[in-house]
Amino acid sequence: MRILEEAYWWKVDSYTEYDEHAIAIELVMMQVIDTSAIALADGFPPRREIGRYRLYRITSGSKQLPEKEASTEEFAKRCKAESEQLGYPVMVTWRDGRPRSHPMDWYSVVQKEGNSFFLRSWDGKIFDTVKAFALAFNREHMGAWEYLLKDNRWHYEDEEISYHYNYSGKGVPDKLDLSLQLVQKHTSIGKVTAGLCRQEGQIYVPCVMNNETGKGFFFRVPYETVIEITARDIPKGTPFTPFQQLQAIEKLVPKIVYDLEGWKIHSSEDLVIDVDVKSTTTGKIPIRNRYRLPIGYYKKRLSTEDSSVLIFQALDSNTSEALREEKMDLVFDLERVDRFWSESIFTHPWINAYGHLEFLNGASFAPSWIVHRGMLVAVLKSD
Amino acid sequence: MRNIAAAKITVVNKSHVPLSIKQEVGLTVESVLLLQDDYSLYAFPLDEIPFDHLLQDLDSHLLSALAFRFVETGHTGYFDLQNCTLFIQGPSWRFSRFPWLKREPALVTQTYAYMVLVAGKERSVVACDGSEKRECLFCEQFAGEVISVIHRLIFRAAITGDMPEEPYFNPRGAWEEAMKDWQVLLAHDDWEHLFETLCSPDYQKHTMDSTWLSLINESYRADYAMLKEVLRFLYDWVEQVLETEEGITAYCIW
Repeated sequence: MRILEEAYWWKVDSYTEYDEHAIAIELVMMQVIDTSAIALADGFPPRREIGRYRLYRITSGSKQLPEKEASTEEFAKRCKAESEQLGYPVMVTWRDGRPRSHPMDWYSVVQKEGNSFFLRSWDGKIFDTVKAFALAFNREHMGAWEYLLKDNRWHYEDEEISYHYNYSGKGVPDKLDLSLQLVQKHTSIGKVTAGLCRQEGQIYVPCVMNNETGKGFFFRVPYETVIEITARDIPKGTPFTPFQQLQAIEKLVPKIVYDLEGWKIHSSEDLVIDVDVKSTTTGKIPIRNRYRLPIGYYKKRLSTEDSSVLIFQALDSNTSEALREEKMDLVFDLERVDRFWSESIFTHPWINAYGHLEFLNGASFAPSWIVHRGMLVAVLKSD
Repeated sequence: MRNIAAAKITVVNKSHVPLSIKQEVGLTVESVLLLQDDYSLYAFPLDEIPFDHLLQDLDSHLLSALAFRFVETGHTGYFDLQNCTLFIQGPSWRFSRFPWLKREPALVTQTYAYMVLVAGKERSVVACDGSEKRECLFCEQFAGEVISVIHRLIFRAAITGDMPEEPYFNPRGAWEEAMKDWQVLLAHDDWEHLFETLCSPDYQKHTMDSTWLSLINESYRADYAMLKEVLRFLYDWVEQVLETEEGITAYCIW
């Protein structure tokens, strides 16, 4: 068996061969001290140790260590115990006979409610996203997906649609279509719980699922930053370990969701419209407010802005994060209002399938945008 | 000629090395005129430039070019002060006689051109050395809202290569389809009525970037009357080319 080749940022300290198909490698992670220094005798610049790992590398056919599909809780416990004893992580990579182009998955041990199992290292970083997905899904509302979709790079697949966060091809659903689909999916799937689901052996994957119907979604991080979400029918009896009680995650799922209920033109000359919005906070009685939206004012104010300049400002690392966010918001505002407007366009809006106020020129205003940018002019009678 | 000499030795900054370029043209300067625009470069012969377009004050901040009358008949000169480039305009120099678009092959360079249309299906870029026989039409990039709209309309109609200066042949059918669209634009007098005609009947189909709605949203600032004027010129040029050619080759200079 070939072991990992030594490189200047990794060093193989020692290794133990179990049989022809399993090996434990003590890996040392190095940091280069000075790239400009003269190389050492090994041909690499001077380095220092910054971390250690024990890596079990197992290919199919081992008689001493279990294959992925047959990974046992005993083996997971052993890895956990070794990790605690050594004081550094113990990882496992399994390799089957199938050719693969991407690097091998590294698994680490997770212990939950006395149960030990393996989880892909990258998948362990998305627990918050999985929890937020469940919260938004159970909200059954377009508005619940607003921030979650905005901030995540998703590849989504189910039997009907396929969505890639960075794909803008003709006919391919955009974020709004995806959120609409997810709201509709709730009717067939029902309320979901976030947790970890056993896929094979003691290997678990993050998922959200309805315990009764067995329907849900698997989450996977195939490479950094992108999350793959796949709809699945999970066989009954599949072990499922729920996450602890879901807590609202401020940045991802809004506490309040909004619905547009109506509109009235206030001034067609100045492009001012009044919009009635229902705001619903979980567990509370909805409230209704009227917001005035001065589109003409925004259009005039933004007429001197250039979207290219704004994007540069929004990406300028020398400015504060607040200012960068403000500039990026202006980019989106400019995109919304800098359009061809006429009286007939302005006076014939409608509330579209996504619950946004839309005009004939394609300008579309989400309820949350109207609430944040508009001016409160009346508190309406609630239910 | 004092100004030419001055232009040649202008020092941009201390690190700039003054460069003197000698260009023997074999012509004798009769008089030098001061220009505030580039119409005499591509649009109208020097004799047809109205007197009020000429500058009298050598120190005027509007001064952008010098024009030369030569003793030899049939030749004029244009010296671009911004780019320090001298053009000798002989009898074959192609003036467009239109202030917005250019026809002279010698100007098909990054400085003076962006999207270039060339009559015929020969997939080669326009020769700038005086040997070009094909008809061409073009304008530089960022030449105002109206030209931006013209570029958008051509992009809708024709395909250009993916790479800079990669010619792509667009057959007659593509242009005839485009000309039908252009006729619709020419039949209206303002953006509002054009919007009603093109977008209102089935606006739901117009949410993609390639639609008329998108074009109108991007273009509405352009003066519609002026746009029609330029589009009419383009329309006539394409129509005339299609009388003898099977199509038009298009490419962009980035």
